[in-house]
Amino acid sequence: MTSDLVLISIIAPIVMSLTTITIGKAVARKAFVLATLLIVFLSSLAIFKTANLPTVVGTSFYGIIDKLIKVGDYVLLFYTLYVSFKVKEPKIAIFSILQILPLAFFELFMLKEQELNTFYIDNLSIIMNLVVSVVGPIIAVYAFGYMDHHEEEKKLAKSRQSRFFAIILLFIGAMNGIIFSNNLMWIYFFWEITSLSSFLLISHDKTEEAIKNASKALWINMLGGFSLLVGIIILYKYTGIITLDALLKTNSSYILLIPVFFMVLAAFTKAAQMPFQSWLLGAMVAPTPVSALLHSSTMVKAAIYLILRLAPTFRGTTLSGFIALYGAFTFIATSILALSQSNGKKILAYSTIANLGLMISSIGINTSSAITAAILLLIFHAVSKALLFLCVGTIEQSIGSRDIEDMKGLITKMPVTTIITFIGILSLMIAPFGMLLSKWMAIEAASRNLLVALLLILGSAITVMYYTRWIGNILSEGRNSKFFVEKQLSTIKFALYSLVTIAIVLSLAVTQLFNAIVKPEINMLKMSISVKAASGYLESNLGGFSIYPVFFAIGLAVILAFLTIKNSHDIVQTKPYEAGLNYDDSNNGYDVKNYYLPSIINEAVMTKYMNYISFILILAIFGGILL
Amino acid sequence: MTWSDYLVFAAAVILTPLIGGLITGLDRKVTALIQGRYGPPVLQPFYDVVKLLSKEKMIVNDFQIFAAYIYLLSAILSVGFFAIKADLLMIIFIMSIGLVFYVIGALATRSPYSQVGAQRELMQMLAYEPLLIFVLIGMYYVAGSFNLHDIMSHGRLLLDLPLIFVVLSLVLDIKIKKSPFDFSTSEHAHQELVRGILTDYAGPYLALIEIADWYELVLLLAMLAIFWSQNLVIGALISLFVFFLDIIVDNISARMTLKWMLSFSWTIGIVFTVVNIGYLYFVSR
Repeated sequence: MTSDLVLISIIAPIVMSLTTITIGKAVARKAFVLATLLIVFLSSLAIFKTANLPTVVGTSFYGIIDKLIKVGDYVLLFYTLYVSFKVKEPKIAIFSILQILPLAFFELFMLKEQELNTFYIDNLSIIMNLVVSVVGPIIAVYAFGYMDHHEEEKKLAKSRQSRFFAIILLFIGAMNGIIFSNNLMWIYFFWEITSLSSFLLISHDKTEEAIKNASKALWINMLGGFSLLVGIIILYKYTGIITLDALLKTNSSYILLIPVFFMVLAAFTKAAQMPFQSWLLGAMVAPTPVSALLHSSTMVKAAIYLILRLAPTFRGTTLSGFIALYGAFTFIATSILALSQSNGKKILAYSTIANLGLMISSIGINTSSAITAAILLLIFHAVSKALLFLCVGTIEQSIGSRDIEDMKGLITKMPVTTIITFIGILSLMIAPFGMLLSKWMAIEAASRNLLVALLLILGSAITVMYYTRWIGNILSEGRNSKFFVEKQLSTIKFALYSLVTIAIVLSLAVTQLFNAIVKPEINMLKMSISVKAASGYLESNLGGFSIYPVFFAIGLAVILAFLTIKNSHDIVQTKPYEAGLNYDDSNNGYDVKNYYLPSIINEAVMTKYMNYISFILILAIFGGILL
Repeated sequence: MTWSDYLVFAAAVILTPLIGGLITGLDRKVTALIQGRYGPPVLQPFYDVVKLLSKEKMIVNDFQIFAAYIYLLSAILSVGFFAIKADLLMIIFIMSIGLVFYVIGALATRSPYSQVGAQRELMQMLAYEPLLIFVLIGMYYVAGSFNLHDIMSHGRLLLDLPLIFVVLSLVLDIKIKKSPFDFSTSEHAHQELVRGILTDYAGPYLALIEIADWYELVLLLAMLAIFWSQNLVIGALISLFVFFLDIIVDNISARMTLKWMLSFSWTIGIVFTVVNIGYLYFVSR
């Protein structure tokens, strides 16, 4: 039963994706895609409800799928080789060949055929599956309305949406493949599919910049794929392990750490950690739903999934300590870079990389409360980041800019979107929302590791700064405007409203969320549970956080403010103080820009030096194997 | 929470503004004496707030009302949690909610004065917020916990964490915007016509912010006091002494630049924290 459901969640979107590409009619295509998304969503709910965890299940289709994947590997790699010639990027070719040759050698001379269990399912898979199958479809639904508008703007003669949605479905299917596969070679295959589909999605608009950035994304991710393959081959050579359940059952040993390092390195490239961050920054040329997908529920989260999976194998090693330091460094470095940006999408991109760094750092700390923090961060970040990208996309289609300086006074133009953006940003940066609760846990867990703790604290303070002024910009206005509900497409409305609801509800129900799916995972990892949660109070051995009073205080402030505005007729409306000049709002007599600190932060120079440092840190992680 | 916790919580919420207002009044009196003036009565801050509360409700933007309320409520909440000895890191996180809204309230008004003030307040937060959490990390290294209850059971933190204590004193100075850190708005001692971040907050809403400031002042002084939790009277005297030093510094120094503040506070914060924690290791060996 479970294995069939899992099979559906992987195969259905992939098969349907091949069909979608042939459907030209808009209505038929939308209905078809919607049906597929519904299948994905329902199957994930069904898996969540029915699966007995943790479990390793087989299917009768193992043999045939395995053969398909073996062929698929080469199809994929030769296709990327072809792409490399098409876009004239030799690095892609190098990394495809670097994978084709070892892969062929490995499969012909080393790998022994055997029947293996197909799927490895535990609470982590379930969490990831829910994130992919809830957030992913919402983004896809948003894309229905967005892409119509997008193509109108681009004045395309022939719609290319069948291709677009086909790849999105393929992407979602491949993500589920990574999440559930037990055979490491399968994980590798699906991993490569996500790399290739992100190339196809980033290059979707076919502009010169899009193709350039997409090829960069492809070669960096192919480098990661190469690293993953090397890791798997070394692992098999020295231990004979080719499945996840076997890997997690072995006692951690010195020899295990080498392949694990290569797999973790692959994850760093996919999570766009420094010095690999450039591909995710370049990815923002793609249509907004693509950015939302790459940054929130798919792609980068596959990396976090892999590191979380491997965490037990390196617990308590020096390597783990260096991973924590590396993640913390990426966190602060990209936070500083975000501070210097006024491009909304770029701020979000840097903030994604920073948050992934925070998750990686937490995993590196590798105590039970740190792992809890990482899993919670993964969930909350997926929801909030998807929401924010969709908000920026909506704003951009309306005002024609993604610069936060141009968003001044947005509340007078699109009040509903502004309020949703406002809540979205708050959910990333202030307590008691889940992100901050997890950050609280991460910092407390990191406190034994002084350097990591200091970096995380400084980075968090910077985060507050660049998000606060963004909110300030969108809310700024000269005088009160009448609230109205702006016109939005129903698909866009659906996506924004449902994501903002999920963000709030999940934050309110964080203790239930923890008890339902995070705690069993920690239990399964055989770690002592140091985190307890009940009725809005999250407690670890280091401290405790109660969220209800904070929500209550915010709620009370909202009510008090509303009552004041509603009831009192004695409120006097004044103009902002301008030393007696009182410009009209319309002619913008003055312009106060945010402080972007150009005298301190130069993006290009800083990126260069930070790349060096991060490269050294990666070497240190490798060195950590020996220590 | 038990019933006695609720009582302590309520008592702290009621008493804190009285103490805070009184300390602010003393501050004005002492400053006046240093400057050779007679100065206002000690209760002047209370008169001011009462007067502000009864003034016309003058606003530029509805959001300011919300911002003022949430600033006050989060300050109250953090003081209450402090009184029942909860998790200190949580208390700091709650305090920062209010500060974020305080800044947004000013940014939302589109007056160049408010906006520049708000940007500067953000820089000030960037300068002291991490330091405040460094202090907690230092306390954790001594007490093994972030819970105030466990931290206070230690007794004489000052002896173990002298440098961390200096860091917290610096935080206090930046937080209450005394010279040389009076960027976002200047306090009473230096009269200015346009009050930075506070420019567009008026009437009752300015009063709410004033009261919230009292809460936060007391919270920080209390954090200084727990460095001698063995005898809180001595602790309170120590923290008042630090506050007195801040007043002196306020009167003998001038406003510096933002860049200077940031590098000064971060350097002091990082170096002192690392050295102090290194010292702890050295002692425990």
